Amino acid sequence: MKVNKELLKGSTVILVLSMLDREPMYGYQMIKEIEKESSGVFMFKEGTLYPILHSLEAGGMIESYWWGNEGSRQRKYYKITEKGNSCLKEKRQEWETFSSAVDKVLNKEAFVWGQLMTQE
Amino acid sequence: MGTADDARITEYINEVCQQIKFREMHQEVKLELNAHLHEVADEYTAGGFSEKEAVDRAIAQMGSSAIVGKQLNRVHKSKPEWSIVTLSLLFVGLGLLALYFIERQALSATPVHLFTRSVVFTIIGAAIAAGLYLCDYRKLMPYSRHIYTGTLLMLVAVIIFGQSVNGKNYLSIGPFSFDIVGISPLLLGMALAGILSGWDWNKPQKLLQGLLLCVVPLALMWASGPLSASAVYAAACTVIVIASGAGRRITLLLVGSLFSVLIMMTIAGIPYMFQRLTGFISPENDPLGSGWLSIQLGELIGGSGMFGQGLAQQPKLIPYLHTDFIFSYITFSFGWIAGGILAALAVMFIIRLAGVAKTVKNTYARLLISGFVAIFAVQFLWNILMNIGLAPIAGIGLPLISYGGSQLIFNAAALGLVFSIYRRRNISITLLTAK
Repeated sequence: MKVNKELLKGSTVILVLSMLDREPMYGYQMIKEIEKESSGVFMFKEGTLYPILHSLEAGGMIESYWWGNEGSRQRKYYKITEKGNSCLKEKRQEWETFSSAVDKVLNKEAFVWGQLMTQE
Repeated sequence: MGTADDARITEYINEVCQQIKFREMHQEVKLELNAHLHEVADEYTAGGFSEKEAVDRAIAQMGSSAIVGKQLNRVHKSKPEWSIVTLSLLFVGLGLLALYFIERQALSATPVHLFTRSVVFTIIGAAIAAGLYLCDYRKLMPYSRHIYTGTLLMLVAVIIFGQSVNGKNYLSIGPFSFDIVGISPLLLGMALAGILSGWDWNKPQKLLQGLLLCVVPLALMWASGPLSASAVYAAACTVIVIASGAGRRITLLLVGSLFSVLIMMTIAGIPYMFQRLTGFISPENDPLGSGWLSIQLGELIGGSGMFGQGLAQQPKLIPYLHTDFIFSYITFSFGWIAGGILAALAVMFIIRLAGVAKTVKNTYARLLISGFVAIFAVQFLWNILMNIGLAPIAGIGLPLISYGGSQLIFNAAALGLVFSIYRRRNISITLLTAK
């Protein structure tokens, strides 16, 4: 199933930061990981990841460095900073509050509808 | 991969870069996207696709080049460090205001057009700062050794040909006189930042060489100028050495050798310094001699009151009111509160500068800013403390505020470099691989 673009937009930052919280990665590696772990739900235009990475770097959330064996492909790796870490913690909490609230509302609705159905 | 397929990847990347107005970022974006596209295409060819198809798919997955480019352009738009820009302008403006009234009230012992000249210096300084901001600071690095040697030669020239004006040695060339000693900490800081970035302090030979590089200018500065300039240099040098990765042991060694040079030179002569010091500790013992300035300053500051005496009120005539004691003048005219605010702004300025040093990852850039931070910090703190009687009086001005063309222009140049560094803090590839 495809997810609405706007929904994805709001969550890319937290996705990227939580990827980098595990280990330093380069752009394409992040895309593959996110896609794999979300079972293909999170698929986005790959090019749009880079503006996000660059703006996170400009904001001091992540740092980049070039790395690669001599002769092989040089890749730009990103790693999370201390500032990025505390931002991730905040975003995680925010997300949990948000998603559990959405959950509650959605389930309540189903529950009410369920009751109405049985009454009829 | 075939050249035609390669060319399509390049074309896509060029389309992205066309949108990014900050050209210095192009190389980095190109390399990053190139690695990405080739990797995706390679995976497709490994999966059995033809090369043409593989490249097609890789490019399609990236999304519109215009959108990616536009978004990247937004990220890399110029966002200056406004707090530092604003504070610098504030300091310069305040300096000009004070100098205007000092000139109008004819409070300066030197009968030059302080204000008009200072306006000219400000314009030159602003032009230089803007020019340096637009240039890549890394282009300066190869010239570090030349700056170092040049500064040492100029210091030697000051010792031989220098003319003393108001206790400071100036080097005159034609109609212009230069405060070489005053600007040499900045010049040497720039030079040492370049020379010492990536310095291997663990090699005994390098250690010795590094120590000499640091100590020799100090001896020359001490011989040609006031202790304060040497102290400013020593602080900058120490901070740069620490930032260059020298451990605690080596730093202690450096500080030790800097101090021993200072002590040896002090013992070697110049009782004048000693007088200044005793004047600071007990001005009452010699109210007409060495203690005179301290007492006058105390009266000036003491008589300023909470909101100042206003600009109509003339303070007592004391020398260096337009240079070293401009803080006292400002406090006298605008009051204690204004003086306190100025001191707080100076501290903020230093903290913001240090903040930039923390965010840059390029070693040379970090060393450059660290040196500047040390220089500005010592100058601001010592000047303010000596004005309120908490530090010995020495020939040390308030950066960006005190009158003085050479210093103002070189301080502006240092700030221009800081802005240039801040603008380019996210470029991580070195200039050499980029070219």
